[in-house]
Amino acid sequence: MKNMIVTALKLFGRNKAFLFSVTIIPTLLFLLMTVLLPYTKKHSVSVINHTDDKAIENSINGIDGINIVEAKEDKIAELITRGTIELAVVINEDPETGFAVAQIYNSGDSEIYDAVELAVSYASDSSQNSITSVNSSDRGTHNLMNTLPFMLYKFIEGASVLGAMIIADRKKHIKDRIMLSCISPVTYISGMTMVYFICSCFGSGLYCLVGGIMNYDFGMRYPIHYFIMLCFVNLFSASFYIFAATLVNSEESLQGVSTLVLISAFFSGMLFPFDYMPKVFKMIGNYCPQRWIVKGIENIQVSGTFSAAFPQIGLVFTLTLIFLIIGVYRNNKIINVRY
Amino acid sequence: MFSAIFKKDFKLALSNPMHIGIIAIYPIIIIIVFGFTMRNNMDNIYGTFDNTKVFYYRDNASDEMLSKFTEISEIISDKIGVEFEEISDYDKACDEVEASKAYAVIKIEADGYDYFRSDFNETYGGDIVRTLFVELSNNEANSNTVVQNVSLNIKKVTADVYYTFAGLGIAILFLALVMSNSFGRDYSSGTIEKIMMSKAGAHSIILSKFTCGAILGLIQIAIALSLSTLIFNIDWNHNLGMIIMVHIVMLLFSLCFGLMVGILIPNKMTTYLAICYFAMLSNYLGGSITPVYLLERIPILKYIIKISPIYWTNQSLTNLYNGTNDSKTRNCIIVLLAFAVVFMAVTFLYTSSKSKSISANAGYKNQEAIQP
Amino acid sequence: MNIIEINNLKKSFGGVTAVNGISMAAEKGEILGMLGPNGAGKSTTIGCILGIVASDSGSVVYEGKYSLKKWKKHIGYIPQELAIYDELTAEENVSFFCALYGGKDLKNKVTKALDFVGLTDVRKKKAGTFSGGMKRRLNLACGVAHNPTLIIMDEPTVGIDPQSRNRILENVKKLNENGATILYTTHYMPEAEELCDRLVVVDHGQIITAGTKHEITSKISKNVVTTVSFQDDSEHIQNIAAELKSDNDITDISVEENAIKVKYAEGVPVIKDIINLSVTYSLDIENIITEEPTLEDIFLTLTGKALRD
Repeated sequence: MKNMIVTALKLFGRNKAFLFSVTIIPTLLFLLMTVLLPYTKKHSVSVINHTDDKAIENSINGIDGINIVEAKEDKIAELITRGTIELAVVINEDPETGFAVAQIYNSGDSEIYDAVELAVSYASDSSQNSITSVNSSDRGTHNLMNTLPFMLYKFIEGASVLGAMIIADRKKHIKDRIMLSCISPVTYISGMTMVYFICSCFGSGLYCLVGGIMNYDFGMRYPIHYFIMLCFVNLFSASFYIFAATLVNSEESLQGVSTLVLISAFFSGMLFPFDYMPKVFKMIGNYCPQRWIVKGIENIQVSGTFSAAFPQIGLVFTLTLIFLIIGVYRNNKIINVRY
Repeated sequence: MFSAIFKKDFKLALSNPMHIGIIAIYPIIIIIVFGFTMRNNMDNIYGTFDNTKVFYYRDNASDEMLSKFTEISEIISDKIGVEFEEISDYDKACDEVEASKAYAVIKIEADGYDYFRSDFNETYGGDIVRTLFVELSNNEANSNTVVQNVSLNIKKVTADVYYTFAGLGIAILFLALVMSNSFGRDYSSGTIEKIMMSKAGAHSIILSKFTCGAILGLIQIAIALSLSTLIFNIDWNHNLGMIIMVHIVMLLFSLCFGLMVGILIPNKMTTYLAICYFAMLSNYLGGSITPVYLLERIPILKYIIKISPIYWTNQSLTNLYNGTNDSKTRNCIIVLLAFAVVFMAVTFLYTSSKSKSISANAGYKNQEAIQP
Repeated sequence: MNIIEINNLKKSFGGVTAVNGISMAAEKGEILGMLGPNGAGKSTTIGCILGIVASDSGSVVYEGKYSLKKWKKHIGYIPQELAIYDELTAEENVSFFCALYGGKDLKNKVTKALDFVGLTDVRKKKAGTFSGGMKRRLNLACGVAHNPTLIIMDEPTVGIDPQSRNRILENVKKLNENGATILYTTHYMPEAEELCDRLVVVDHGQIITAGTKHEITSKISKNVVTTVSFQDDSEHIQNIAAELKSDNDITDISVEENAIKVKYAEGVPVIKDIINLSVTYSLDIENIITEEPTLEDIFLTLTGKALRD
């Protein structure tokens, strides 16, 4: 086994394309997709203040959970039409009374209209000490969940390298040579899988580290849980491609398998948020392993405990085992010596 | 002669399944899939305050704090619909807050409030409620402030409408591929020189391909707008004519661009890549995939998106849909037409010079042949 | 004692019978050649022997009593494909495949194997940078590094330059001299003739004939053809031809420009007679070419069909 692991390490380590695709590329793609998929559930509001009094403006700017967008007054209607903003608060001073007049422009059915109105009504520039103390929070500022389905696709598809290596070994009769030795088929597969798993977990770790450094919000008490879920994904991806390598005869044919992964990623919410997808798409997506992982992560985020993801982990792990068992069996089928 | 070339180009264009995809299938898929999928997101319906509550706990609370709390909670409850529930086990309540069962636990004390929220999974709704509670607890209602609700009578662009425009934008820009592909085929088979040397001449080639593309584009526009109207029951209002006009101008831009790229670059693969990248980038920046209102919130990107022709058409189409026919539409049409004219001029100039050089070479060869 | 005994091995792929009742045995210390054209069933037979391909019926026994499962660690396999990792160095390749068999003294075994195939100087270089011939030698080294008792080589010299081929053939002989039994498949007759103690000729999954080279070629009553070319075209060439015609062992003589073509039974000293006659008539010989019976000839004789590619 040690020999297998050392050799597999060398093989993977000298494959520059693999190293890049497992370590640097996911992180780069993650940063790119954050820009390409900036979906958010934050409501956007503009504030245009024509007075010197900053109380209302500060009150609205101080509302956590909304996005403040700069806008010009003559563009309000256009911006609301396009959906760039939901509300616009224009603050003027009544010349007769000297009162602040806050006009809240909207299109009629905003979820946060009442909240903004409340904030405006109770705005004050007094600087007394607050009688309400709030515990601190060090949540990140950027949303990680938008890009998660895409990243899962990338991590799963990354194991196609492992599948390609198994196929190449088979075609070049390297596998036959190995099987004729004292190595068992399970050791052969395990050695390669272990090394791939370590490399891919390193890549996942790098992605999580960059996310942490750049202040992405993991939405979890312990971000390590996010990393652990990704490790399950890497294990699943290895087993899937070990199985897939027994179905096809060439490395190029594995691309067809990767297309399948892409399609299931689409139904899992890769391009746009799963919650917004049509019912039929969601139904299909619920059968995709990527969706189980996302759901597991969401459960951890919502419940605050890792055990909330156990059902999804169980499903993924079961599928992993099935693929692994069938894959190893099919890989060994011909070597089941009967003399 | 022209009709012969046109018939040939039209047949060849329709013989390629990819072209059928671009003309008919892509716009339909984008309109239907994205139109249904993005509905809630574009309507800003996020369920921000759905099924939510806040716990509260008395910890040697004074009467003053208690009555103030009652007042605040009633106001917030009335306005936003958040429920306030008293609990007896503070620690258990904190656990439930972290398990997203409630936004927060408010401990009412003798001289103030202790607001406990989850430090890792507080939602945006929770953020808003917390901010309001803090503000209301510290301030009184400002009697010097008048709040007016200005409800605009505007037709918000829904996902159905938005992605009808987006789907058409993608399809029309990719029509340039059909154009360049047509030239690429003529180059690789050598027929382009033959036609240029014939009586038909170089300009017939351009005109034929242009006409072919225009017909296909008009079919695209008809399919997309009809489908949208049928499935989503969209009311296009009195600006439908202008909406179609903007799409036609976009079509002209795309066709002329494809013709220019196709005639200048003989290599099919290079033209394919050039047009693909241009179309994908323009479409993304123009908001064909991710809605433009999201892109406009990203620093730096909000300026870069303005270079995309899809962004200009997007802007003008949304205004037109809303009943506004303003300078944006006029500017969009003028700029796109100007580009189309420039592209077409380049195409004509190049084909003219190419056909002259072909004739000159043929004449020279003929002279050689005549000599003994 | 037979190192390996194959009994009535059969294997079909769909409707095609690749191996149709092959029985043979290799004695300890011999080089047994398996000769046949492409598609004869050589590689499939090897595959069945090694368990790579599951046979439909038949048996393979090692050292009279052992199954492949118990005996496989004594086998060295050199496949037709280059079963080496391009990303690893020569040393790493040999070390990996040798280490699979366990045992002590790995470093020495690796050094010996590389030395054996003449790749010591390039041991630290990646296999991907090697020429075809060097890769074949490395392929060989990987298969023999663990000192196997039985070495099975499936066309190990395909597609390489003559120098590398000769090197490999020398290596094979050395391995045999060191005690290894070798099962060697090829479709190239001269190679089989040079190396093998015994030959088994196969086609369409069946053994056509078997025995030593002499036993096989003696089954063919094919004459040898010798062409002697002279420097100048001279009437004396006709004189030489006339004198040779009187020899009863010579089947046919023809004169073409400045050359004489003579057909005769193998073993007859025709060349000696031609040289003597050339001296008598003061003719300078430019070239003497003798055509041996080829595999084609064997097949034609034994099967009545031409050798297919």
